[in-house]
Amino acid sequence: MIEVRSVTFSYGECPVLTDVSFAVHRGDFAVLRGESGSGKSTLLRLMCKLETPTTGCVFYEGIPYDEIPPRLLRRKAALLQQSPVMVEETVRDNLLLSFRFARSKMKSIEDRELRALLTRARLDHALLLKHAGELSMGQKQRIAFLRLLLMDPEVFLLDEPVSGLDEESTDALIGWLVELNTLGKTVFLVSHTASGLIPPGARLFRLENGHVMEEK
Amino acid sequence: MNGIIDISWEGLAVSTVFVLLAGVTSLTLRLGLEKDLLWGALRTVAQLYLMGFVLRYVFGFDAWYLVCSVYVIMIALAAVIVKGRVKRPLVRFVAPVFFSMLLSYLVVTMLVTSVIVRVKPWYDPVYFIPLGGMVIGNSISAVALALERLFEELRLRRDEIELRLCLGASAAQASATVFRSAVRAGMIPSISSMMGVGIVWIPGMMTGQILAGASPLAAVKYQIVVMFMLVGATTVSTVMMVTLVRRKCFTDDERLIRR
Repeated sequence: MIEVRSVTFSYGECPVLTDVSFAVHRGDFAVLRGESGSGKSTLLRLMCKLETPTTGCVFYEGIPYDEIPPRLLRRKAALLQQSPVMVEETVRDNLLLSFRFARSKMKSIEDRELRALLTRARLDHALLLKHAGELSMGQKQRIAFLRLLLMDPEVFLLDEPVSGLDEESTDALIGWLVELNTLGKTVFLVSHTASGLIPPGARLFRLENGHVMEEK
Repeated sequence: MNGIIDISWEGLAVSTVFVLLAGVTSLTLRLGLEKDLLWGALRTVAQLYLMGFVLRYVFGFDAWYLVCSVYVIMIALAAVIVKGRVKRPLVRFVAPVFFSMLLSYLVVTMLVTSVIVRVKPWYDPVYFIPLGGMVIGNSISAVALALERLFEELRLRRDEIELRLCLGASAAQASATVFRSAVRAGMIPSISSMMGVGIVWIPGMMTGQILAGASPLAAVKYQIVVMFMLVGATTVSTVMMVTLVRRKCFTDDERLIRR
């Protein structure tokens, strides 16, 4: 689904990734572990084209990233940023943000459906019309996940998606991801503390000293 | 109109008393400003005389392309001044600034001389150069402000911009709020100067015309035109410039560049 081939990346003079090669297949649930600062976030940014490799190439279903329109790619391989950013006033407008950028149909989603999603994410459904700036970190993180979910991507690239969540919410989110995975979505999750996040059958990768290797 | 009273050389010499006064003050209070004062006073005399000679020469031009060439050089110099004023730029911007100023100021000044003041010919340098020059001079800081705001917000709001990109936004959609904020920063000074004009200060242009014997009411009309043309010219040039420079801050595949 996404293949990273011989990718090297540096910020200016500072090398972050050296000769990284690995592939995530359609329907995979993959977890990438590594120390903070090891380049996990950079790797995710490369996988959704917020950065381009210094050398090497990334492929989406065999097509080099250079040949895919960036907006199309980012809608298919969607990144959940590490820090949840709210840009609109209300929770509702934040949830519906991706529809504003969609070229064709302004898909209409009823508030009832949005409330159901909030409840599913263990959030109070009354939050929908609240000011997003007033939410806690953990709440924002879940709103950001729902926002991504509503865009309906094929691959979920998740950067520390549970770092602000308590144990129960973490379990709920991972359970949800597993369900999405069984429905055919590909999940690529990055974390520095991955204990408790790894469902059975998940593929494990480790990023160390700029290299990625698969753990058995 | 009798024309302005020419200041005699003796009179001019007496005016140096004001600078000498400042110099003596600096010495007695040990302010350490004597050197700057001397250098500043010399530069004032030299720069203004140089300008006077250049203008006397330029005012003899009777071809539109000569007058416009002078104006283009003035705008190029302004673009270089803007370059020095903007701190921490993300990309190089002198060319887009020059191009935006050139197009908008040229069109606005031509409109003013030909349609509003109805100078014949429209490129009469006695009207074209001072009117056009006033737009340049009064807009340099606004242009610099707009650029500085653009770069600063692109830097500070990188997370927001990248979030929108991740949700499928184009570069323009992702940076729409930054764009608005930069254009606003460029437009506000000329709007505020419309609020203050005539209350706290008599604008330099009116002062000049009144001293030259024009009736204050005739001078007022000129000043109104100048204020309005300033608003129009800065609006058009800021929008063009911010559009062009913002485009340079994103790559072809819609990533925000890093610097």
